[in-house]
Amino acid sequence: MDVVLQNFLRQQDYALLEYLGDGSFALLAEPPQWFREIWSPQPTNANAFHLGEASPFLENFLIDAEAYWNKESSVGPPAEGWIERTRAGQEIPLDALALRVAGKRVLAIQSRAAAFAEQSRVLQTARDALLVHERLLKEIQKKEILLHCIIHDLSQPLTAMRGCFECLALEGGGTARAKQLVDMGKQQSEQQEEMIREVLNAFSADLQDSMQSGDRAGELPDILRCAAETVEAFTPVFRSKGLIIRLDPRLQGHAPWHVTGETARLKRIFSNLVENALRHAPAGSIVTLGLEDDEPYVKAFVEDQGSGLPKDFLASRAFRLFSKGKKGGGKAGLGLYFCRITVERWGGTIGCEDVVPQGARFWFRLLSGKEQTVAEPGIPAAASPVPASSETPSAAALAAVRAGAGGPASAAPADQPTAASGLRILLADDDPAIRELTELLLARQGHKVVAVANGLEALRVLASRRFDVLLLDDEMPKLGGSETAKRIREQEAGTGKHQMILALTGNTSETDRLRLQSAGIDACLGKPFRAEELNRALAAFAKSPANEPATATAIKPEISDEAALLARVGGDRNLLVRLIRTFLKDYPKKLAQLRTAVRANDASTLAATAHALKGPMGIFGARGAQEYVQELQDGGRSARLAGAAKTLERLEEEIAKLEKKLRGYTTRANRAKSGQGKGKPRGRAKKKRA
Amino acid sequence: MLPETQKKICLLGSFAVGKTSLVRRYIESIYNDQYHTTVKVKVDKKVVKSGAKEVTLVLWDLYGEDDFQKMHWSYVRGSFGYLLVADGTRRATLDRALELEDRARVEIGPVPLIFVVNKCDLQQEWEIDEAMLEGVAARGWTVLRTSAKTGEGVNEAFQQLTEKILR
Repeated sequence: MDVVLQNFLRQQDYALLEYLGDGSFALLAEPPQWFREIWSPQPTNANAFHLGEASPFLENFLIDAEAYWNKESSVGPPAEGWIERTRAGQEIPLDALALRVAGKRVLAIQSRAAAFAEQSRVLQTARDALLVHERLLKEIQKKEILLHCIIHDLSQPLTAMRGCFECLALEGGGTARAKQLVDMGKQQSEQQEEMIREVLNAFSADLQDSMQSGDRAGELPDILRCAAETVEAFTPVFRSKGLIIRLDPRLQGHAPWHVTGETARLKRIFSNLVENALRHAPAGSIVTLGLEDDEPYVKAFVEDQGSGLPKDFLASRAFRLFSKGKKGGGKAGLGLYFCRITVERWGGTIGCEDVVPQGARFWFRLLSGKEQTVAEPGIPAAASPVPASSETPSAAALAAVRAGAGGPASAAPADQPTAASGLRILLADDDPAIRELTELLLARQGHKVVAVANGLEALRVLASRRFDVLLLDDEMPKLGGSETAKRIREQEAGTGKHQMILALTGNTSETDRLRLQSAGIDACLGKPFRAEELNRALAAFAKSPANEPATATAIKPEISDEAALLARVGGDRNLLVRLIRTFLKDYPKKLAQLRTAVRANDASTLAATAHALKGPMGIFGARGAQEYVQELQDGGRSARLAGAAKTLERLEEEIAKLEKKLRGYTTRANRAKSGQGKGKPRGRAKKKRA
Repeated sequence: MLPETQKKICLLGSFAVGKTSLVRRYIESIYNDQYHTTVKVKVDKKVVKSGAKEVTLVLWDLYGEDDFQKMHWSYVRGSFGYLLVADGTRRATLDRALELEDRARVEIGPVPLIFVVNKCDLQQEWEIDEAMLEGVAARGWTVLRTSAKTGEGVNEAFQQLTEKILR
């Protein structure tokens, strides 16, 4: 062989062999050292030897190489790589290539240690990253469950505890020591709430960052696509069990279907429900994933053809943490629980039911994509004014009650309605303890209360009696709060009637509020609530007796403050909170400068500082303060400072009022943002949901 | 063609399920906690006894197919059986193993297989539950839990595969 070629082969670490047939090869050039160390010190018979016998990998490779050399294939087999060991145990990475060169059948084997090292490095990095990603997803799921556990399960007893203490306090009587103990109990439960709030805030912020979805900003997931991809992913395992999984044939050719939520978690929900069906579906049966229009929701379901839900089955328990069912299994009882907390966080509902003639259907509802344009309460839609319909008073009352029910830090406007009494109230709550406590609190205020255990009973009672207010728990068996409200509004359509509905709920996130609002609920009060919060909420309704639609004007002052605030910042709550925080941090310094300027008769500083305050006063709609600031600015500019001290005094009073309102707003906004909700006490037996 | 006494077997499964660790444990009785991804095929041999018969297992340790590396299905050609390996702590690897079985059946026909669920030393982190394994076993496959780390079930997996092959 030509010297140049020999040098090339040596430098490139090639072993070049000619195929002689019958698995026999001859070296075409002096082989590299590694070749000798792997296969033999010296070939024994005129450079010919059987490589296939020496290397199982090459023996396999040669099957395709021979087909190529014998012209059974026009395309050579792809270069393939493998690891051979020298007799000393050293691993050598090799690549084999079959060629036809000048009529010869050539096998080229090359050792590319550096390229192999680089390839290994890249693949190692890539696969390590994939594993880390998988672990992170698992951790995020665990955290979500923990967060929901804290919201609903740890804080549930606080509702009953707080109510008990309030009732005990209202009962009066008892020794001084007993009153002291009651106060201590109240304080401890409030501290517990605060602690949970702190933990939730810490978790929520952390979770918010880790929950950045793959969806592009503003893009809602396509639930139909998620369902289809779930079917595709599960087909092999279903086949292995002799089962069929399919998408509902009625969805063939259906357009994309967008819903509230996030794609990865939506797929996980489907996966968990399908795994649940997989456990119970008998061989030969079909599991179907489907979607139904359930305005304003989309209802998704996973339906099996098993034996259906057991006789003693409690749907509410199926979705609880660590609930495993009789057969056990499942990931420590987290699968269905994860489905529930995720669906509820998106403002949806979840449940299960028997299917006729046999089987079970696990379903969940999510707001369909078009519902995302629902306006913020009190803020007119950008394109058109809010129509004068029963929806307007709902939005208005919702904002009013939120403002009024914000807790001890919230400001009470001067014209806030006083506590009402003598209302006819229908209370629907499935928790007997909550029913009893709420009845007691209401009775003490002089209200007449009828209490029922679920939405169906509420509808039955409403059919024959009139009530001023319906207090509706959100999560109830048979018929939940939002479903009940929807049915009431459907019945009222066209009649001019309007039943005032106040939701009592542990779900007080922004999404929950929108969901309840779209169901027709007028206002909502978060659990656990204080007696005075409930009274304030009812007082807002006291001006709107039953069957008379409450008008926006009845509670306008509070609406216009908060609604106007948001309108001025384009509805951007986060921006508003930032502006408020900046103002609250900054204004004391400005006031101090004004005082100094007035004392020193410094007209120019007075004018400049007053001018700097005008902007915030305008943004926050503080008309009184705005006028005083204008007066000070005018006085400073014209160097007329007589009366400036008095004007400044009045300005400080107005700013003090404004500060109180703004602090109240940020407290409420922070609560809404963290999505805090206090659920129900443990231990109650829930009936099967509708 | 391998001599009569040599039987080629493969290990199939997603990446990072422990295929190489199972081979290393079986051949050399060693284990390394650090994950080193397999980039190229490795072939090892081990002489084993099954009853009165002595056979040389030719073990093909194949890399797990993923988006970064596609497997050449010619590697499973001529296999007398294979271990289908899943990672008990990663649910998706079970689905992937079933897909691989579908493909392997097309390539080499219905040869004996043992379904191995590895990493049983991490039982508390498992995502594959009894119901899923029952579904797999319902296909008539032998399902074994192994740990390349502790050695649990490893010899049994290879031994049972050998016996199935020699039957």
